[in-house]
Amino acid sequence: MSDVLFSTTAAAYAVACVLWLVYLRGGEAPAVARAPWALGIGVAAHLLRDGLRWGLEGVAPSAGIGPTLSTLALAIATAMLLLRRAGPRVDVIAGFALPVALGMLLASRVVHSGGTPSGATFVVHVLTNTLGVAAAIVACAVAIAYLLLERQVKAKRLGVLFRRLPSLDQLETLSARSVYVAIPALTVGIITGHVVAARSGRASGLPWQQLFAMSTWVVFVVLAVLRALGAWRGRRAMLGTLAGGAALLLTLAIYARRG
Amino acid sequence: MSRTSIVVVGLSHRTAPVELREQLAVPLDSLGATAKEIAALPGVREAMLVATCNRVEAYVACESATRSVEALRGFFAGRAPGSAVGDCLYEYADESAVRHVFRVASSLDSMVVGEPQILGQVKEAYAAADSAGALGPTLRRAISRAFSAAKRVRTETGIATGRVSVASVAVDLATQIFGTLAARRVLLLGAGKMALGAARALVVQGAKLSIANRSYEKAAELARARAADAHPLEDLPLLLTAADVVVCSTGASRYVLTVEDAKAAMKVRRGRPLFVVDIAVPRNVDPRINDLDGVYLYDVDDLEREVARALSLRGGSLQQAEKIVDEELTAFERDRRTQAGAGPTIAALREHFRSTMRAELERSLSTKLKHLGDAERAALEAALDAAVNKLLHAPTVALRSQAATEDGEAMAAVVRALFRLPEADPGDER
Repeated sequence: MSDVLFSTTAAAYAVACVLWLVYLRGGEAPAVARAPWALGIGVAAHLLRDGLRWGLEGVAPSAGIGPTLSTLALAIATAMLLLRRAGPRVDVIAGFALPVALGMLLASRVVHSGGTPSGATFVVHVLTNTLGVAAAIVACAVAIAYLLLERQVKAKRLGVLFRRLPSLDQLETLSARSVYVAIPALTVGIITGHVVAARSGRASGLPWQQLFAMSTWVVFVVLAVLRALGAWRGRRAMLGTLAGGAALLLTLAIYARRG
Repeated sequence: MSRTSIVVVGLSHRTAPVELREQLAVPLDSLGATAKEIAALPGVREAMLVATCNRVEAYVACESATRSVEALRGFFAGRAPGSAVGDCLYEYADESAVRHVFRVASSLDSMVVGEPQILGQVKEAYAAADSAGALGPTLRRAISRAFSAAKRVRTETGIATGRVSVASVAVDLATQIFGTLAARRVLLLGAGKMALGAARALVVQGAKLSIANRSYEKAAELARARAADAHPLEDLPLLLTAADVVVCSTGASRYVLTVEDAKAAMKVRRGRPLFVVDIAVPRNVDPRINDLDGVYLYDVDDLEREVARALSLRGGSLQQAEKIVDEELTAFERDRRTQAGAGPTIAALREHFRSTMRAELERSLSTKLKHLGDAERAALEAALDAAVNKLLHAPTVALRSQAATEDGEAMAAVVRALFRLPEADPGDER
């Protein structure tokens, strides 16, 4: 049952992602109308699968690296599903974020899940980090959309993206808000991570993992400060967001390898 | 008998980049004088110059198309020395030239097909050439017919309704940059018609309008009618810090908005994007500002390229409009053949009959009929005139009706030969 649900989830995410990406490359509009449905099916199957594993097998969403990656993938997919409420055309951003969610979901099956701490602080650590990572991935997906659209407008080659992506202003606002959500979530996540590590008497991660985790946080904080000061907007801010996103993915990759 | 040729030589957005069109730009108040200058070229009888931001074209009526094309090419080369103007010029003669002016006036050759400005611009060119004394009967007839064709195209096709235009592309771009335009500020520099149209389209979307002009009075006048605020052009640095969209269309021959202006404004704007639409030719905005972060510059060529792309997806009205142009062209050519072939021949035939009758009458009145009084002489003269008219009625009708056909010129030649009529003046198409 769990395997069927896993396959359904992966297939649904892949279909939704392909439909949105094909649409952004000039595909027919009627086909993309099925993408939110595919994503919805994927999220439902994902929820059911992780819920069943927790209820029947006792595998909590934070019980090791594998379940955590799966939870992160679910958070990103759910964020993409909710994103369409942010305005017209915004849902297509999912085309840029779902590959990350799909990658995390697939990785959750292959990484070795070692023993994990428990307790309320650890739950807070996992929840806040999940929220922070999901928000950061949304910010990065929006930043990719912004940079592609901005390049078309600047180069005066208005193609399909011009007609199918949200406005630059909308993307800028969405990316900024996502970063503003990611910062406090990641802040709490990092602090609680250290507390959990101290209590369990082991290091909170490999030195590289700590470095990239802190880099992510620093980049996002600097970005938020520069935005607030009005020094960085538009392309620069989006490149900064992607730099933060890259550091975050490296952190997650090391985390997954650590097992 | 040789017929007066109609020739057009020029360049447009299709053949020449904006940089070259700028070099050949002719201000409205110089159109008449330049047309007069063209009319004085060797072999040219009449001239009209159409100069817009998208095209510069000289229309002439002349004796020899080949000679006039040569003269006009030389004229354009002289106005843009050292440029590649020769490679960008196109030329049409006679039927092709008339078709071209019909299409131009009907806005079928515009990149913004269906846009209304071009008809007004051709009318302005016509009025300028007319008041400068550069027009004659040949061009008058052709251009008047072009206006009729344009009117039919506008009223009988949907080409002007729901059209894609520079203004709509500007709105699309502004919307894709700023999202909603409500509460955004549009700054209009200058008072060009197309720029006003674009500004109006943005304001309709909810944007607020500021107008700056070299003449504050002109800005205030425009602002009053549009619920906008008016400023002198000296306020530009300050206005740039507040505006989201700048639409430029001044008559200035240098950049009104420079890189330095934009850089200074962007510092104060703290990275807020600035969308600049430069509809002027010569351009008002230094193109290098597009390299600045957050500044998006579109000139008239950029906008019209987008319009053309959108229009290429549309077809029905265009086909209908082209059919109207064909019909009008056929009618014009038929009339022209009538006028050119039959008109001078009929006039010469009547003159020949009248002068012969008058000479014979004079001889009789001075010899055998010298006893007649003034009343009788007048009555006799009137009777002979009436007889000439009746005698010539049938040949006149035949000449006119045949003139519209391929055989018209042959028939006119036969009549001339039969009555030994003098060759008509090619320009005499009364």
